[in-house]
Amino acid sequence: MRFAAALLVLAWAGAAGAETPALGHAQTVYAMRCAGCHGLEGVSPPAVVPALRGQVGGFLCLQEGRDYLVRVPGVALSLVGDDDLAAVMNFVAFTLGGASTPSGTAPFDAAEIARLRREPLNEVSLRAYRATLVERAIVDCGAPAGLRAYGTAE
Amino acid sequence: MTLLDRTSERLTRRLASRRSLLARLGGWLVAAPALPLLPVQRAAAATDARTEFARKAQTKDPTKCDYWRYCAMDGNLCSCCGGGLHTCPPGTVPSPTSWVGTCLNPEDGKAYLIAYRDCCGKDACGRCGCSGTDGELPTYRPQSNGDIIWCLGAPNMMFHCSSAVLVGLAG
Repeated sequence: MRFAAALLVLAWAGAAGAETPALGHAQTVYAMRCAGCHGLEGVSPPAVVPALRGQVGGFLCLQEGRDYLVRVPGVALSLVGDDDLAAVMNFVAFTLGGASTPSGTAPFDAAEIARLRREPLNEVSLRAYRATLVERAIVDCGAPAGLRAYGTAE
Repeated sequence: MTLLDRTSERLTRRLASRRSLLARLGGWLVAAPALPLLPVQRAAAATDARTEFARKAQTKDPTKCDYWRYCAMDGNLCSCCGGGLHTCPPGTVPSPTSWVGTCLNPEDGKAYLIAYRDCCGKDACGRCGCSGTDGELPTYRPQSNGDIIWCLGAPNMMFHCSSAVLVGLAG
């Protein structure tokens, strides 16, 4: 009986441990700087916050779309260094983006991040610009139609 | 006897005296733990990276502001309002958005990511108002600010209380 109880405690302790995952560095930075709105799993209210999971990779079929993902102010102006930001973008593209990310997509590196974030999209109408990119990505390369959801909230 | 001889003899006698030697040795043994450590301890205190909150945090009572997960909690504790550490009180819903901070657990000394998830849909609970500010940035960096009503995306923007969801071990 006592042995069974000990086993139960061990099982519970194991379960409690399993409930507290150890996050990798990129995922930690993502959690602290992005996940509050975009969701830890990339799932967010899509009309209010662009949903990343299974969708964000749709931008990567266009060069302009790839640039957009880094130049968008929330990314370009984030308080994250170039190396960490490259790691976060790769987590976003290849883990959260999943099948939406075209096969053969090159990973981001710090040099590309540094170059792109020097030109944040501050001067354009962000929603309109995003909408044109989304239409091109959907029509030209079959990106997920769910990308259209952002900005549709009243 | 020359002066040199007398001096040498006196010195030798003093060193050879066991009682004197033991007394001195004992004195140094008593003082030793304190003397070399004092500057080291001061140096350790000076480089203690823990925040003021982390130094005083406790792990037992989640209805108190100094509970370790509340290092960046800004608002009424759901634990005092009919909810829990990571559950919303009846009649409110957890916001799909939140801000995420890092708190040190004094039991294992490790940093954990905590999501301060607001429970929305009713007037402010009013009990157990806390204001932890570890890692907080001004409102122009809203992702890291606790003053924002984090009910963005919830059916109703009315703030009731804040929960502190354990996300995971920071890497």
